Amino acid sequence: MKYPVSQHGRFSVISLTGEVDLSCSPQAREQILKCLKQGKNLLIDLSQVAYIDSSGVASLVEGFQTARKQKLDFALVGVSKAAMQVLSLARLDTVFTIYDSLDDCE
Amino acid sequence: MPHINFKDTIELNNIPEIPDIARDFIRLHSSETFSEADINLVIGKDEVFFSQLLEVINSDHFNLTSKASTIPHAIELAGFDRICHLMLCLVVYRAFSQIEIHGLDQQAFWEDSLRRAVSARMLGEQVGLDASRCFMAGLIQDIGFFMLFLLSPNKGMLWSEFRKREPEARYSMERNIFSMTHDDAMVLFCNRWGLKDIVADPVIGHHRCHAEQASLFDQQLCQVLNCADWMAAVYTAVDKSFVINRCREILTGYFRMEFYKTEEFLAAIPDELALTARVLGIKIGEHIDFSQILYQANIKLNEDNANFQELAQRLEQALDERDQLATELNRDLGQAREIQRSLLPPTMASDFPLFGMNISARDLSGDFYDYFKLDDGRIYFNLGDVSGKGVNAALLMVKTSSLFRCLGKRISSPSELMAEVNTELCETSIHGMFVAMVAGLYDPQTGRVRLVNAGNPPALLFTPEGLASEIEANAPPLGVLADAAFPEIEFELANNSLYMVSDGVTESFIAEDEMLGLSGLFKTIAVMDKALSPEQRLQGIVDRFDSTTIPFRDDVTLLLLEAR
Repeated sequence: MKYPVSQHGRFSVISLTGEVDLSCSPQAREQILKCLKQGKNLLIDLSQVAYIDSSGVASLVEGFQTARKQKLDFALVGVSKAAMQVLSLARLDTVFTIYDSLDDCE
Repeated sequence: MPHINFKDTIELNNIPEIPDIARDFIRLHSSETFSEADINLVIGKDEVFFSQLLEVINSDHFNLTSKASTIPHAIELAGFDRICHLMLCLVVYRAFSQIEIHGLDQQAFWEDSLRRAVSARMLGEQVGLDASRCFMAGLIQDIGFFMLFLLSPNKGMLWSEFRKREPEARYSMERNIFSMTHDDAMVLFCNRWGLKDIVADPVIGHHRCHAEQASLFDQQLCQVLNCADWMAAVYTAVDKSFVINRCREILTGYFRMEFYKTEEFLAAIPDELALTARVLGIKIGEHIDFSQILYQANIKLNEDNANFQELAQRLEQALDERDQLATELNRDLGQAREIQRSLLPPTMASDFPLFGMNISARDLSGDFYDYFKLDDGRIYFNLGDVSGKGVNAALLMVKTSSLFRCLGKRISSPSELMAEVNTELCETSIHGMFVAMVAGLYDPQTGRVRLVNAGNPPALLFTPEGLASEIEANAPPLGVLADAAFPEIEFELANNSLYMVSDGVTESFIAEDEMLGLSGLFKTIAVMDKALSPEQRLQGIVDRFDSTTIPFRDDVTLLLLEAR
């Protein structure tokens, strides 16, 4: 599955959708790393995510760590309730920069 | 008739003209009224030819009721159609057999055409069509093919390549090489010779037979000529077994012939060919018996069979290798699993305060738990869950567990210990993998617990009365953020029970659409009989899962701490 990528100001936006589990997190990871390799500041739109497992979260963590090394901005936006539950349970909500909506990202 | 475009460059002048006698004869045939004198006038123009024609008519092969003394007499006995068809065959042969095209073997060409004509006649008899018409159509249908080489004489060397192919492959090869087919060229020929009326459309369209053709006659003639093409190809095409099978398909299909008769039918061609060639004075090569053809076809079949057997053997070998690799892999996985299990702590005596349980969803687990005593009697314990599953997760699990145990023996602060492990994991982090872990240090002397929850589901502290409090994660998982802090929560264990679980427990299904969840876990523990052993109580939680119908999606790990 290929996730849609759009542009919002200085950010590229990757919109993850549906169930981000072991079967499709490798694609999410690949797209995230590709954008970062191209030197893009990245927003991950999680508003349409119904379920995310630890492999999906790992893709986000790797994106976060890679962006940090490359001094690029990396943030989550519009995190769905299901995704937020997983992130906050693991206290990852304190690790990621999280915006409510695209309008909040300058 | 189909309209065709041809390039100016093709050598139209190479096409022979229709001989006067043939043109006149056909004109008489199609006119309503003619007299014997009119016929004799035409015969007078080429008496040698017509005496040859009469000889053929009177041969046994033509099967007249009595000998004809003259051509008009023959017309009276056999009908003008039959005589006209035969005349046309001889005229066409006479006109084209003298033309030299470099690379085209004239004798072989006419032998092929004659074999096709004989086959068409045999098929015509099968379906009750005018046999002489079928014969004529069979003989001249590939004049179109000859025409292709006449129009592009420099391609004559390709003729032998065409001859080796079966009819449909030949047809598409024509399109590729000449940009036209022998059907198209046949239109040119019929226009030039004025044969529109005598050569029916099916002769030109025998590669495109379809049920909507104008009449039953057209349909039948089309099928006859199509099948005759395949029958002739039995003797010329390289892939004989394929062509023979196709013939059998058409003969049993369209011509409704019994399967066992098809061989007899195909085997009759060589004798018919020899007889007809002799009567018409057409030279052919040496007699090829159908049994020889079958022999060659069988050789091809045997080759195919040998190839198939070799393929089957190689497949079997590959499957064996795969099985062997799978066995080896399974053995390796089994060993890895054994090593991993050995990293879990042994079950201690019943007065030991900790009891754990681990069920992996796969061979290798990404979950783990551990406990070990320090020299001063305090006990370190942890329960961890590596993101992801399988070998990657298992290796990280081994690494984290080893780091914890190794560093734990010299760092007596859970907070510092977790920070150390975290730094190490962040430095070597790969693929964003991280480890959620709840860990602590329990002092049996004082009964105090110092606990850190790094990204794991809440630890649940139950009073003997069944009241519970949650100790939520207060730090991110290990391996995410190098400078993260891991604050401790300190409390008195007293006679309470501390339950720690991986998310595989709360996310296990207890019904088709229902996960256990944190609240489900609460309720389950709250109603448990406190007199049960730790093992029985943890097993009681696992028993709630509907693992008989829904297999574990994730590893399931539980750890219980109680003062003894």
